[in-house]
Amino acid sequence: MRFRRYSSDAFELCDIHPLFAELLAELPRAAARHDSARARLYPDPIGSDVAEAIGEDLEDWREHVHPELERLFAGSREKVSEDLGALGAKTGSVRCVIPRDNIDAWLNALNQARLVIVEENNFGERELSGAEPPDLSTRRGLALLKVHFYAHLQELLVEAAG
Amino acid sequence: MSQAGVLTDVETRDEDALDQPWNVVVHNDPVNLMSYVTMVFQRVLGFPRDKATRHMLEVHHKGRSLVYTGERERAEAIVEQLHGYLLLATLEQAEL
Repeated sequence: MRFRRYSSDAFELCDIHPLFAELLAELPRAAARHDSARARLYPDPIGSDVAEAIGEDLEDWREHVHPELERLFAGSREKVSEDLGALGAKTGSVRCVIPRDNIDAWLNALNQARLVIVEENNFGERELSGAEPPDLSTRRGLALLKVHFYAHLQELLVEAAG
Repeated sequence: MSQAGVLTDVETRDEDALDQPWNVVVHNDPVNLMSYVTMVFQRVLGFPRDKATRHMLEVHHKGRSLVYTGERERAEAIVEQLHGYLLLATLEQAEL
C-alpha cells in the first residue's frame, strides 16, 4: 500500500492489497459497534465513587454530553463511509482518496474502531504492542491485524495532519 | 425530619465549593497512539509540541498527567473535548 500526498492537500491510499482493502471497507461498521465498548467510548468525567462522595449527579453529563459525542462519532463515520464509497479499482489498483478536510473524521473513526475491537477481544498491552505477529488463522488474530492496520493508518494521518 | 415553622429547608452548595479549582487528568490506555495523544494535547490545550510531548510521556510512563487546573466550567469543556478525541480524561477537585 502506498500513501501519497497531493498539492491539492488530498491524500491517496493506493495499491492496496485486497485484504487491507477489505479491512478498510469494514472500518465504518467496526467503528459503529458501540454497544460492546460503550463505557470506554462514553466515559464519565468523574469516578462514580468520587461523584457520590462529593454529591455530583452524573446523569446531567450523560444527558447533555453523550448525545453530542454520539453525533460527533456518527458524523466522522459518515465522512469516512463517503470517502470509502470511491474505494474501487479505477486503474487496476484499489485506491481511496482522503480530502484534507476529512482527516479528523478519519482519525476519529479509526480510533472508534480500534477501541471497539480491543474491547470486543479484550486485547492486552502485550498483544497491542505488536511483540508477536497475529495468528491470521484465527478470528482473534484477524481482529488484532485490523487494530494494527488501523493504527498504521492513524500514524500516517497524524503525520499528515501536522 | 420536619421542624415546626419551617416551610422550606433546601441545602445549597457552598459558594466556596463552586469556586474551588478543578483538575483535568488524562489517563493512560493501551490503544491511543503516542503521536495522536500529543496532537490532541496541542489542539485542545494549546500546548506547544514539546510540552504536549512531555505530558504524553507522563501519561505513558506514570499512567496519568494533570493537564489543566482552573475553573470548573473550563475544565468540563476540556474533558468533553478530550472525550471527543476518545482520550480517557477525568475531573478532580484540586487540593487547596
